[in-house]
Amino acid sequence: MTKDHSEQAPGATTESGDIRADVTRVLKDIIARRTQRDSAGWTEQTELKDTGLDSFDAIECIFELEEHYTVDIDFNANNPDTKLETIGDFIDLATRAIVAGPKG
Amino acid sequence: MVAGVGVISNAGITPEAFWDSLVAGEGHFSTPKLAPGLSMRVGAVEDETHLQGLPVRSLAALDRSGGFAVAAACRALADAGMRCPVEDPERVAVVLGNGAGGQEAIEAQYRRVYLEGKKPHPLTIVRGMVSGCASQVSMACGAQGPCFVTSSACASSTHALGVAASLIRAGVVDVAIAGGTEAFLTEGSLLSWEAMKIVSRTKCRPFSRTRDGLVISEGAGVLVLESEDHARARGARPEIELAGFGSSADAGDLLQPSADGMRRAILAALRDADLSPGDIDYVNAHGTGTRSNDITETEAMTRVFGRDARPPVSSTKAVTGHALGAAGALEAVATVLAMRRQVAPPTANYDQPDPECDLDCIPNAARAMRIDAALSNSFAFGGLNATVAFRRSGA
Repeated sequence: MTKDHSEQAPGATTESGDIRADVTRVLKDIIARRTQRDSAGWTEQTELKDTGLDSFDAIECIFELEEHYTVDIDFNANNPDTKLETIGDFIDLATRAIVAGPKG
Repeated sequence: MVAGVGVISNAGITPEAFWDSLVAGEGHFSTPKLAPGLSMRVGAVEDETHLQGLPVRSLAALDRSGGFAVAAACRALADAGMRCPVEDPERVAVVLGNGAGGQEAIEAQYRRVYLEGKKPHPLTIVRGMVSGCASQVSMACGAQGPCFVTSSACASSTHALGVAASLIRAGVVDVAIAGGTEAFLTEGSLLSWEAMKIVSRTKCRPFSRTRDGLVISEGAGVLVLESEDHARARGARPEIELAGFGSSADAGDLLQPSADGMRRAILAALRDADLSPGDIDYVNAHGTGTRSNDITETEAMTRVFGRDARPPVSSTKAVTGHALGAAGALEAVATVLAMRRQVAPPTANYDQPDPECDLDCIPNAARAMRIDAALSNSFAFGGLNATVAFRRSGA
């Protein structure tokens, strides 16, 4: 499954574009560290399952991103409208939270 | 049948090292790392090499107690000459004893929430749940049969062994990975033990007049049990059988043990194994080194065997410390090793006879002796008693 993240993705402005690039780097690092795999070939279309992430890894990745950026990431595994299938989905989710600002 | 054993303990992380420590009467004790302000000593597992090469995807998902359990289970399967992941997985059960769950994960969460104002780690629930250790072992070993935890404080893993043996006898499974694990050396837990005023400030001296309480430790013990048919079919010839299990409740006092409750558990185990008191050559005692346990256990021995017919009894807790939910499994391993070697491990640190504990407690020196049948006792807070009986094949 592929999807074009460039149109609806948060990150139209330069500032959030920078954020998006930063999130991409941080997220790939987190996933690579957890799965012990090389992130070199990963794109926004790469499916999370193909990175080696399993159910608890994904939850822990959200937690690590929340800790790293001091934000609350709005994700509920029970919400059928929330998609978290590709690296791009993950970047969207985190960038949206960071643009919305720090928690508290 | 007992196909194999595995241990993770302050007294060693292989059965050989564990046995050598028991015979030498020397365990490893230190001041608690997570509660350096406390004056007590604990039996911590400081050799972290047991975590290397475990068949788990992420050590991050394991609480310390789960890591001990997986490591001990893998060692026990190897000792049994069985593959990991296991063959015929639906016919393999996992039954582990555990008292406190993933205490490290739980306390870490409290620290974050109450001290740091942060939200808990998202895996706190699955790391902390008391059944997590059994799940981790089932995943690591590929065991797909019945899988659960028995929890009865310090008798947890003896209950686990008994229930696992029953599953085999009932024909539910052919193999059971059974035992127990505990990692309870956290700051809050140790302070709670200290608050009960039953912890030794020196060392654990079971049955000795100078004893001044228990020494808390951690670890895991696992026995791989299998049916006789299963052993025969794979050409294995295990020499020790878990022949019987008995358990009882005092239905009395939460903390004060009852000789009658202990007696009933021991007699039930003997009946279950079709053994009579006179058949028992050796007893691995609960022997915590508290005033009341050791006196009460002595009285229970007298009631079961008669004063002049009590077999030699030793407490290996002087070496292993009290590993709580893992204690029964570690002591079952000690008993199996004693029967394999025909040597009874000593009660170490014994320095003065106590007339109220007038057992032959094999003081300080191991004893070469014939052991065809033996018992291992566990008597928990809350008045929960469990005993397992082992027999040598053909004896």
